[in-house]
Amino acid sequence: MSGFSFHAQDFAYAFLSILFEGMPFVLLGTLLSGIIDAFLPGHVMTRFLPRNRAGAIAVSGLLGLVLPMCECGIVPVIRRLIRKGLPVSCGIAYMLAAPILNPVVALSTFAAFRGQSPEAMTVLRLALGYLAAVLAAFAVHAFAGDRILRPGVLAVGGAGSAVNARRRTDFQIPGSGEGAADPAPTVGNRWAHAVRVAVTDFLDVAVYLVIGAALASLFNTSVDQERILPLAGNPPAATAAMMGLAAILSLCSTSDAFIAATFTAFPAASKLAFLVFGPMFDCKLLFLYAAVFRRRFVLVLGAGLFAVVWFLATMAGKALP
Amino acid sequence: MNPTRTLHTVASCAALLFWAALLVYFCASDRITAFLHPMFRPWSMAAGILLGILAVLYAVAVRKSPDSCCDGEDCAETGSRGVMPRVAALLLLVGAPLGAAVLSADGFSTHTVYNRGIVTDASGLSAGRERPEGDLPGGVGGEAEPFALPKDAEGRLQAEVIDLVYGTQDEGIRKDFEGKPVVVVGQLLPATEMNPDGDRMKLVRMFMICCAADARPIAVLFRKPDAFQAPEMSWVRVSGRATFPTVGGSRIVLIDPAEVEPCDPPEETMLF
Repeated sequence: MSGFSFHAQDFAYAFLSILFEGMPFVLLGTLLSGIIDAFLPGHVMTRFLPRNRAGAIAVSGLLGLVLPMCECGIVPVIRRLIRKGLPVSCGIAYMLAAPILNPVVALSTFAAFRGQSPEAMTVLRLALGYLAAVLAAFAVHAFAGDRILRPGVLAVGGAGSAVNARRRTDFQIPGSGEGAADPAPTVGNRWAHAVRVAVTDFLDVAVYLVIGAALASLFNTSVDQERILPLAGNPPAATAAMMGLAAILSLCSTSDAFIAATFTAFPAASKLAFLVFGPMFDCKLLFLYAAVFRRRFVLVLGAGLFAVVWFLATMAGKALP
Repeated sequence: MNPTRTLHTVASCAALLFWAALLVYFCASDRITAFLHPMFRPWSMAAGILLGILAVLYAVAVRKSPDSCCDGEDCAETGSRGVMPRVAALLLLVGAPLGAAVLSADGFSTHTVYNRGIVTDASGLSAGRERPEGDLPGGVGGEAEPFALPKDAEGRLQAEVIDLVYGTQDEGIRKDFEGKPVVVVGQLLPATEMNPDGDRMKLVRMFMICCAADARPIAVLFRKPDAFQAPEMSWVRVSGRATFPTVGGSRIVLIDPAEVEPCDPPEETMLF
């Protein structure tokens, strides 16, 4: 049997199951994005963040603890938050960390790894997820927003210019007047605006989910997953293989630990890498991120995260049995 | 309202209504049971209903918005794309899942079952997956406890494949089952390994964590009766005594001797 063979019915079945699982959370995220756009005053997010760059990024990486979101739902939310004035680097820290650094994921990881150092695995997963997200955010901070964001993401409120985009990395944003909510004199108008934005975001992001789910399902059903088993004996290759598998399977971060824990032949470091990299970057996220960021940036982000997570997991793996 | 905007609004509402109908149909018809863990099913139903409501609200909301909206590339509600690419994207949003819904057999073929690797002992399952309290006879090590699993009219324990597979690692569960008559339902596959005399087959069920995309096949083996034949992946009911022999250093489940009869698929084709 070759390593890849396509079966249309199985593909359709896996494809629909990913969509049925992900779509409610995309809807939830887009409803939230509509409400944010209509009711959240401009820059309220940045008002609660420390003024200095390091502090703001560090705090943004922890937002998932109070505003937990899965990786599907967070994309429309982050798009609106950036549009409302959240610096891109802070948005990226939140976007990458929140699907890992939240209470549901901590509990599910602990439960899944019972008998396999659950405390260490849970703590390291959350810590590495946070660290990788913050490192990515610092790296992103060096670039102007218009080199990162998809054209149109900031195009709202009459200030949707390249200047506006460039300034999204500036931490002196509050008070500049950008990204303010559309003037909506009545509550009814605000709700109408929220509905329009929510629907637009839902349709926009759902298209990317459909494309990402198709790619994930293609690999999910067509690739012989036992082909990676021989790599288990080589720790560096095992870590890379498990990260690749996480990207292919595109699992939800709340349940991926139950899958990772079953790879008993693989070293703990490789399972840790699976748990950290998967929620940050997988086949469906490759396309979902394209709803917010330029495609080139998404690819660079994926490659950078792969290298950082591989390194961190390899180092952290030395602390695991 | 200008024609471009009308087209955009109609296409958006149609896409929302399609997704509403798709989700509600799969939930109402119970097709959803093959796709999602029970925990996620109410979310799908709620999303379907909400999308239907949202389609109506959107049509109303668009009528309240300024007529100039959505004409330009910088419109907040169309992003950077023009209207026609957006309509094309909506066609993808509708066409792809519609095609999949028609094509899907609501279950995996042997193709994907083999691609995922069949698990025959519990070390291949997550260590954290505990058998539900009270679902198994006696509990761990509970030799004197009354059996909690239902029995059929002939006094056989009505077990699931997952119950028996856990017995490969858990001594208490193993003791509860070992040597006792059991009846198990699953799908038939040939045993290409752990089959020295060529008289064994696999009884397979898919074990789901969240959705079908993450489901893994788990199996017990049974000794097939002479001249027994049935198509691969057909649903059968296997009865016999549960044994837990060690093969190649791993403990497996072998139902021996076994009676096999065709049966209808269970209400829940997946195990959780």
